[in-house]
Amino acid sequence: MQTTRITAVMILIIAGIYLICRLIGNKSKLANRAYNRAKDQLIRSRIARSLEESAPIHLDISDGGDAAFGSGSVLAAAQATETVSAQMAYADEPWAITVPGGFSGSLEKDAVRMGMKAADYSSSYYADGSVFSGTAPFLRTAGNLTALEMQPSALHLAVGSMGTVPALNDVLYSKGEVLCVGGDDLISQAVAAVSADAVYVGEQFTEIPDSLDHAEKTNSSLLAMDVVRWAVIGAILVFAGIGLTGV
Amino acid sequence: MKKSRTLFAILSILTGGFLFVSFFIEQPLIQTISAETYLWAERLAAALLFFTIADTAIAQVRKTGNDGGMRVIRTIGFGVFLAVLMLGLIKGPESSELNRIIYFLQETLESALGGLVCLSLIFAIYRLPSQTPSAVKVSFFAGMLVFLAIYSNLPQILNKSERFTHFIEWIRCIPQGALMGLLTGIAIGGAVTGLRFLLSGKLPAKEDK
Repeated sequence: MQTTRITAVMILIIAGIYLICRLIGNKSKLANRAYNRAKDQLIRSRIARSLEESAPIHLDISDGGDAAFGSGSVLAAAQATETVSAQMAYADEPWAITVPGGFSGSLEKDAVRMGMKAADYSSSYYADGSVFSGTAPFLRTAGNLTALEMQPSALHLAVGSMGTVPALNDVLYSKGEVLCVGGDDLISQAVAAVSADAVYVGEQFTEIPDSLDHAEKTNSSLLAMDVVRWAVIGAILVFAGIGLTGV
Repeated sequence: MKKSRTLFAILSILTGGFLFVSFFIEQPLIQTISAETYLWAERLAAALLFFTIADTAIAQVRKTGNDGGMRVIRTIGFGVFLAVLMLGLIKGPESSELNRIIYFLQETLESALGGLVCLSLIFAIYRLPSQTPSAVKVSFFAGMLVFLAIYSNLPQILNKSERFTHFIEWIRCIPQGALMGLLTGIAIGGAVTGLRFLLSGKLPAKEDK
């Protein structure tokens, strides 16, 4: 269970950057970068279309198995659920959230309740919040279809550790249904690059909740991530240059 | 209500903070408390999973009469749940016979779906050039072509100079670097989201509003 001293230092540095961004974030004029990209606009347009045309929205959360007690992607998915629940509170068609149960399932239920509360919607119609659709990655896809009652959705937003499942979704969902994938594992990102309509690469899955929001705003955790991201990219470029030139 | 939420938030922050710090302290008592906390969290998650499955099965029964199209699927779903539950109660959860039946069913279905994934990926690569271009898709396709050419050794056959060979060797290292970059990014993303969750003591959405 002991991690190295370098890991501790890295986490403390990230925590320090995050706290600084938290202090200056709201005062700065920096905008949320994760907002105007084509994939963010696609997701928002599908949600808007869902509200106009009464087509359901589907959020699929994968936690990578029973060992995951709230990985980064599950927490990001909970944020996304809260945002979508607030937006879809008064929609004619329900939004469906399929989960692998356990910890992530209860987290999603709480996120739905908080989203509904944020929208001042007090009906108990969506009290269940999320639907269990199985734990095994491939079989969950079949479970999802049952949970969705075979109805086509305007948008399928899959978040979490899902491996090659996006390729299966591409086959099972009909042509007009948009599939967006925010995976926190390399396989799902690679598979989604060819099979999904939009893919969030690397750490971008943490930006999904902010790209769903109605208004562009400054987010301190994304600012912190940008700072660390550019530092890491800079380091990679420097060492790649050293490797090429042999300096 | 507000008071209980504040109490819950403080408790969450303290528990999360303690588990985080316990990673870096080798004191036996702290390690024992940390391991016990994880164990109880796992038990809680397992109990939650059982209740979720039972809740879903009951919901299937409630909805069975709603529409004809889904009736058969719901009946089969509930039937399988009941059959597995009964077998588990009769044979016991450790029964090798029960585990073999479940493993056989799961393995058969997953293999079939895995085959479908393979076909889907081949088809996805085929239709990739005709899709709406995006930075990710273009770089994915271009990268695939470049590395196919490099690993075919064709460029090395055409140009055998030492400088070019060094350049090709450097190009061959790029996927490893990209892999490390992506994994580092994913780890940083997870760390930042976790910190955001830990420090706000609630679901992190709306923190900046």
